[in-house]
Amino acid sequence: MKNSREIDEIIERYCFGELTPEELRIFEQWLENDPQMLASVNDFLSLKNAFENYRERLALKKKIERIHEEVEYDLFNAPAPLKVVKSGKATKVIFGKERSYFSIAAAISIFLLSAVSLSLWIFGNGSSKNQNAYRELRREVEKIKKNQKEIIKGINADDVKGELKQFTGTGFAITKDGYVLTSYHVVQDAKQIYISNESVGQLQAEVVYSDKSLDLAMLKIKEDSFPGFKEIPFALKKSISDPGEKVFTLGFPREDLVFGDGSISSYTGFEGDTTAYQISIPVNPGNSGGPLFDNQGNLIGIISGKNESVEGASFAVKSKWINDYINSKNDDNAILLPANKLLIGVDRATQIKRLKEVVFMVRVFN
Amino acid sequence: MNQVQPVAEIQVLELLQAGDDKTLKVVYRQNYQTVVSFILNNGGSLQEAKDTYQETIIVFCEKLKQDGFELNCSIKTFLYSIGRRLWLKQLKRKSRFTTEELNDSEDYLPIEEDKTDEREEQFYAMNQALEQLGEPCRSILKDFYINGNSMEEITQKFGYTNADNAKNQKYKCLKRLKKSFFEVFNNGLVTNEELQRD
Repeated sequence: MKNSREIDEIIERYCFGELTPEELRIFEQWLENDPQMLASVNDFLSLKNAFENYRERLALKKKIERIHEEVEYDLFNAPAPLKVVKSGKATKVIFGKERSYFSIAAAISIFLLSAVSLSLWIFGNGSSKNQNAYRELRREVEKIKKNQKEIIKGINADDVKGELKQFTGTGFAITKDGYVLTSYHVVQDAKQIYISNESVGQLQAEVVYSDKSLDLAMLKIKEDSFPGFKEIPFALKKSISDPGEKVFTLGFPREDLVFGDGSISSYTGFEGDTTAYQISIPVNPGNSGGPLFDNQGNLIGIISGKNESVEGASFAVKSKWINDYINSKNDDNAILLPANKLLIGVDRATQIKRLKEVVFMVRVFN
Repeated sequence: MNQVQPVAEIQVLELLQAGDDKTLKVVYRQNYQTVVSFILNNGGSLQEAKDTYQETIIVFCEKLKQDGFELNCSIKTFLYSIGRRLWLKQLKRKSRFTTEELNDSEDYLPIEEDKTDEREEQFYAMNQALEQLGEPCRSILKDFYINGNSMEEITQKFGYTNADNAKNQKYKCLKRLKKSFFEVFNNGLVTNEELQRD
């Protein structure tokens, strides 16, 4: 009598068609008389089948993963639109409650003035960015259409209506234990938020609190096994900086971190908005939510938008307001504002090397 | 649902059936949002959404290759329906008693059970079984049954003194794999009735 290993080997060789004619004859006779053996053979055949299927699927999976990598940039390249403000309009960005009166008044005017006031209303409602979002979206769709045409002529246009529900912006860590600051308009209506950079990989985050008029949002990492960020290298500056001061920002207008520098141009933002600076750094969609630093690497603001009709006029919410806002929300002292001096007296490249650990791309799914 | 399919989509299907990877890329790109958003909106993480979407594409490719395959709706609806069903299955695997209503953003078709279901279950069970196995068993079996390496190569690679030792190890490993494979395969089946119950 053969032992079970030998029997299994025979079954395997039978299933792979490796038995000699003589062995085959004996084995088939055996099979007829032994239902137990027949069951074992069927089991092995299922297993063999499963191995083959596994191999095929794995190859297919590999191919699809490759396709994913090739299109990933397209899939995620929908940067959150910057808050674009247009000058020369009757409305004005007014901080706080007053602003909402404007929206109401403007909203009423839409009934009265219809088309003419439409653009005014869109702006007054603070949603001029939606206009811009629409433009982004359209560009994306056209791109798909073009790609499509290269392969198949005359595809039904209805199938090309891609819904773009993902946006990207920038954000940065403000505490070691997982608080991340970004712009309100980046994470507006977000269902899921992910932050990512080279050193932390990808982490899921959620909004803890946000303020539409200041255009600020505080996120917190919500991963169970989150080890914490590196030491926050900068300090938050509580006083106001002056025009002429050199400033720089880091952001994700594309999938890699991009540095931009310039100087503070004005104490006030768009049309006298005292909560923001005007700065001379060219920014692009995706830069929203990025940190603004002075020469010593102090955090002095957060990039919020740009003036569409004036070249090189961007805006950043002042760190003083960030400070006041966080303090107003910080009854439980959950957030200890950063006051480190790791960036003072070192060159720009070293500053950036330390800062890039705590600056992230923010991906939002609406 | 039996609407006439746009002519262009038939061409897309033909290209896909011929194994045209460029077309597959376009289809992948175009339908990513729809399926991934659905999963994100129904309790999935980004990773789960991506995995399920890729699984959806695999099932789609397999269905395309079946004899007599016929599509009576748009590719988008079809992919959404497959993805929806796969995600539902995944939810059932996590907890057998999910009664939550799904948030749908698209119309969908009931996908009939066919061979691809069995293949999907098989793949899932094999994957689970291999995961549970641990090393060196996993690599030995993968090398022999999946990558098609010979026993001699395996003997060398894993440093066995002779081929018979390696064979003996492989035999023990296979026995364990067989046990857990059939355990997962037979218990893990989510039947169509179960999917349609709620």
